[in-house]
Amino acid sequence: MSNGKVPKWRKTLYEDNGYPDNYTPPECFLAAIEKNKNLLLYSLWECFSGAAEVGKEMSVVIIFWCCYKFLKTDFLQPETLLVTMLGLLVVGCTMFISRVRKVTFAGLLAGIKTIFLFTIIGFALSPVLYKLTDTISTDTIHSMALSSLLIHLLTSDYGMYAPIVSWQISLNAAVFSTVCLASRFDHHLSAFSLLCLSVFSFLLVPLSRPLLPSPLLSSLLLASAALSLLSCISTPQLCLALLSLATVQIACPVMFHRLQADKMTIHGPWDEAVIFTAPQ
Amino acid sequence: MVLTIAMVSDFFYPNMGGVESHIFQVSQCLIERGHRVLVVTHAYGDRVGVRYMTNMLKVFYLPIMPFYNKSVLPTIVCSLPYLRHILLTEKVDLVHGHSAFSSLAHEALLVGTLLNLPTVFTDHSLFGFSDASAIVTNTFLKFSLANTSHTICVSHTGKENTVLRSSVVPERVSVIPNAVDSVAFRPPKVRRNIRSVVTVVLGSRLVYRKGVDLVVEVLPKICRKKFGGGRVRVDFIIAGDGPKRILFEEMIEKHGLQARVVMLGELQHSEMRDKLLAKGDIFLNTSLTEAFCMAIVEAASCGLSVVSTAVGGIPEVLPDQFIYFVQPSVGSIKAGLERAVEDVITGDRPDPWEGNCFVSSAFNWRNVAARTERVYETVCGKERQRLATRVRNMWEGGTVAGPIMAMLYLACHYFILLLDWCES
Repeated sequence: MSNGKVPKWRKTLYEDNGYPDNYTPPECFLAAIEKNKNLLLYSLWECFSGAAEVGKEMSVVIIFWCCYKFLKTDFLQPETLLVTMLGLLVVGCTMFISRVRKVTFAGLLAGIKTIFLFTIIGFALSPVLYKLTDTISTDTIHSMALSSLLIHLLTSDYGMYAPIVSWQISLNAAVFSTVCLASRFDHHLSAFSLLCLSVFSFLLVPLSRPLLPSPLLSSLLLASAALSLLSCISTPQLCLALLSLATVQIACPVMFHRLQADKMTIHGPWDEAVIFTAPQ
Repeated sequence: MVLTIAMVSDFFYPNMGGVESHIFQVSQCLIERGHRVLVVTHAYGDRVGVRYMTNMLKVFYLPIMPFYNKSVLPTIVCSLPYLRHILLTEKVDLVHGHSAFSSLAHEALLVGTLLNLPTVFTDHSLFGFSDASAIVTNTFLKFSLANTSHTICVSHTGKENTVLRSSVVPERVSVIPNAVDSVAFRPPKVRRNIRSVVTVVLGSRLVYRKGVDLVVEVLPKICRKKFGGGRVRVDFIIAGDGPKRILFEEMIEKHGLQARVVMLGELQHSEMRDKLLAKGDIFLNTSLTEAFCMAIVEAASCGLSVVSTAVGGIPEVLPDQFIYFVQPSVGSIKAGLERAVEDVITGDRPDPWEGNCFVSSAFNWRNVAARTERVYETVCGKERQRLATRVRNMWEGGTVAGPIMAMLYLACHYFILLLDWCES
């Protein structure tokens, strides 16, 4: 420059400042970068509560498995099971109506009609049900039932949105496992009671989430019930269940909480703009 | 210094687009400057083999079919023999790959570095960081650019984005913008007289990324309003096609705007000026992300006022007298359009030919080719890296992926030695 002054570099493409094309001004380059903007950090309490939801569902699956074993060994009578479930259903419904949502008389009648229909149809079809997978060997049955219960656990709704969550798949997987296990019974009443148990624990129990005050307390209660039931059946299974529950409910939340400190997101002018949908 | 340059990309004629026209125009200008240029791309339908385009531009259509998103499957072993043969028989001095989405370009860069040729890469787009596909693509880009001699980006924002994605040294990235043919995109001979109608035009693919959801909201509001003291109305012409076209059709039906909004459908690039830009007074661009928007430069070259969202590299492209910046929200776009329409009515905007002169001096292909040639000269003058250094660059690219890619690189090196021995 003839007057000794060098023009200031500007972040434009249409003017020739006299700087080379690969000039990188240290103060302007990456000046607009923002790190960890709008970062959502979870407290330890939230981590444990979230894990408790998963632990609850796992405990319910273990209780279901124990009930199946008890039914098989005739330790538990199907009639007892049915009566207990009916009692719990009535208690749960009254609590639900009184605390959560007011139901009109017509709604209540419709609910009772649905239960009645389901019971009648289930009972009528239970002789067919327990013969369905009769010819398949017990080992295959058990592995199929376990894998579909695993799918049920994977696709259950634990209160957070994710692409894998689908209540349709989880309910169907649970009922499929029931159909598999029901074939091991000799009497159709046992098959029917197992079906009722499966619908009760996998459809109605998750609906009771708003009733319970604290997910941690309820998960602890359910876990202790599940483990005490399992201790009557076999010790290796008890150890495995204890290990998996401890991993899911204690180790995983602690790890998640620790690893949050490593989160790093980068934002800048290159990001795709988010459309503001505020009313005009 | 006369060079033989190989431009490699998945995107070339007969496909039409920004990258394709960039490659063609820069090749033509480099041929004009005395160099020899060849283009390597994949086959398009029946179009396989060697073709010659204007000024003896040799184009190799390799017999590889596109796999996903108009790019070939990155197998490396499939294209390596072809690329090696072309680069050796044509005595290529430099390999120039275009577009991060083109797997053929990345493979050509790999083969170029294996044959110890200088390599240059041009990145035309912006990319995110957060989702899984972005993480994988950025890792591959990092390895691809580890041994590339130089990188070119089309805007300063693009440079920042590329440097962050691939961890290249910023001094090895040059910013050379795209250009527009200002002779083809010139204002109409007879200046449009604004009596009772101001026309706003839109020309883009109708997808979410181009912000068409916002346009669908703004359009009825603008059509309802009267400007210039109540005597002027605003009409719209929309060119382009895509999954969101149905939103426009629904909006037109709902508000009864059939006479006010014209949908032209998909237009060829050569028809853009005559059928769209020559009929408008204002160009609206609502992209949510853009590295360098060629559409707004074409519009400015035709003398239209531009209303655009200030995202990505757009704030660097045009000075304030030719463009109105808005935020990506319905209110902001509406306000910006209203301002632009009022200025058009009062005549308070630059002469159309002023826009054309500005674009022809600031964004022209000969300038781009000259700056690219400067990059080539820098790159050819540098010392070649030894094989050990190149493998080391790959190794240090990551804890697990680094060694894997370094092994792959070495395997390709031995494959080339095998091919050399077979041919001798």
